[in-house]
Amino acid sequence: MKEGALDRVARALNLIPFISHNPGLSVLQIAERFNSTPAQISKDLSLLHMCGLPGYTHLELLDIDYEDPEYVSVKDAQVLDQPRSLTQVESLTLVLGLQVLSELSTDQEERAAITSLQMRIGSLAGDQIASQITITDAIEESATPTIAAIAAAIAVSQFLTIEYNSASSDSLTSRKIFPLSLSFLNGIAYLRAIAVREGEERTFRIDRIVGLSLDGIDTSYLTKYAGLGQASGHEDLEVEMGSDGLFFIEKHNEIVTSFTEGGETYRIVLRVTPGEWIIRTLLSWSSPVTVVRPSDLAAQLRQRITSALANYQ
Amino acid sequence: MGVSDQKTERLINLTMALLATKRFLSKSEIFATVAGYSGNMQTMERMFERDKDDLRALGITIHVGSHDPLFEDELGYRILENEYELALGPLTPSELSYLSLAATIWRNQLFATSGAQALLKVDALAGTALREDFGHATLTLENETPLFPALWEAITSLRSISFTYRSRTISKRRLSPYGLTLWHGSWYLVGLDLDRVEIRVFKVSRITSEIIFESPPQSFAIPDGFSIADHLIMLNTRESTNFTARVRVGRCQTLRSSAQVTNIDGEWDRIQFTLGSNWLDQLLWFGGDLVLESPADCVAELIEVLRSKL
Repeated sequence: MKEGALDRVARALNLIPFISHNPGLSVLQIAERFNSTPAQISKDLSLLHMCGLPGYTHLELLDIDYEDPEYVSVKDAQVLDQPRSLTQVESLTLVLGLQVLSELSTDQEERAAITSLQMRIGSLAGDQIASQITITDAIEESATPTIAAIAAAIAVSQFLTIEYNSASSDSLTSRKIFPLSLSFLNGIAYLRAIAVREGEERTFRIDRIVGLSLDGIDTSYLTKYAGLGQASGHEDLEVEMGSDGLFFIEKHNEIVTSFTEGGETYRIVLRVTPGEWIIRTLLSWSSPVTVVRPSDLAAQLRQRITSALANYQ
Repeated sequence: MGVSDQKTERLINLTMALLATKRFLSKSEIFATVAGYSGNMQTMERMFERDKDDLRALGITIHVGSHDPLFEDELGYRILENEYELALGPLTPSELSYLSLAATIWRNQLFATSGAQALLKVDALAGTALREDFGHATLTLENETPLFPALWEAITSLRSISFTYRSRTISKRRLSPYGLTLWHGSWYLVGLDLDRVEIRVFKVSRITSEIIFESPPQSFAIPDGFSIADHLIMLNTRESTNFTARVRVGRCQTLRSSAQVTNIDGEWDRIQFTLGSNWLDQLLWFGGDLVLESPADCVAELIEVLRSKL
């Protein structure tokens, strides 16, 4: 899409104060931050170089040094040395983001600092919009110190040893992991990490981590790990469900690769690592599920149901 | 230099001139001093009118007034520094870090873009060097919500909308949208259902069509005292039940952690625990390692469900 003059003006007005306060970046680095190309940023800079205040002598023009594309600086920003005020949606984005952070924070002092910052930005957004777009409970569990500790470990490439209550194997295990990222699905916090012993990526539910201790730091581990090549081991399976298949798809969105809808039924293709987790997931879905393929999973599921029922006879 | 370059340059010059002036600048002063205005008076007037509209579209407020109280007919223009500039006061390194984290946790297109824009401005206040990096690119919060920008437009400009909604059945809904809220990772839309004439809550991920605008902006008003939280039915369904069950020794770990456990024999323990409305899914998870003993109606329901799954 061809860029309009207005988008360019908006970017140019942000460029000057940004470079003013971050001197010495390269054209490429600036382009990355502005989601643009080095060629475009160079053009913007040479255009800005011609702009200034009435009079337009070298004393009134914007003075930008961009001859060396590795080192850009603004020598005289004239009246443009400060960034523009935040738009309504920009303020709201920050306000809501800060609210999530304060939900996640377990430190009283930190929480107070975040809330006070949230109020400062909030006054820029306006009351009306703040009552229309809200956060009720961003995440399901109340924040745990675990999240903060893991975020800190991720930032410095630190190994962790966790006591994990694995629901799929129904056992408490201790394992060494290299944490990769935190995410929330349907409000539940998950940690993606490399399980060191298995040399494979695994996902852990934060609320099932019952103990955590910090281990060594290795900033090159990820590169070494990538060199090993990841074991995939994924398998496609297909199930059929009634009209509540829709809710299954919604809940397990991350493993659903495709689905077809036929009247009152859903046929759903899933991509999973075979094992306990998927058997129990299908077992715990409270309405009927037919495993179309593979047949051994169908048999396993049937056997689980039969043995559960046998307890009541 | 292309027309587009000329226009960009003129708009920047105009912004700078109106920002620098300490008094209202009249049109004739602008035409005489700001680079980029040329041609006859009519051409320049047209140019200036368009330029003013463009700057306003960028969110820049241009004040119109008179610099001479005796000659009010000669209007002037200026941009106030305190409105144009971001006034946040000094920020500490940890505040800068909170802001950068707050700006980057979003997956919806609108907030992701706005967050990046906001962060550029924050970094232009203080520079990136001071900001501590929390490894923030690693935190994601929301489920995907491609309809977010359209919903934002409808909510902020008070336009009625229609869409196809998939629940147990699929139906077309017409709505005056009052607000959006994030709950447990998903966005929920709250508004007046125009067919049912009632305030309803919709999970945004279950909207299967595009958002269609059904009215011009400002076509309804949000009732006084309206609060999203009053209408969130999901907050009112937190009943819990006390259960007793036999569980195999060493099994059902996640239940045990919050249960009262007594040993029966070498094979079984008895546990007492409390679960919420999704108790059935949670108990089915343990298959034959758990035998529910009470309450009786739940036992009957569990057996019924197991039979239906065969």
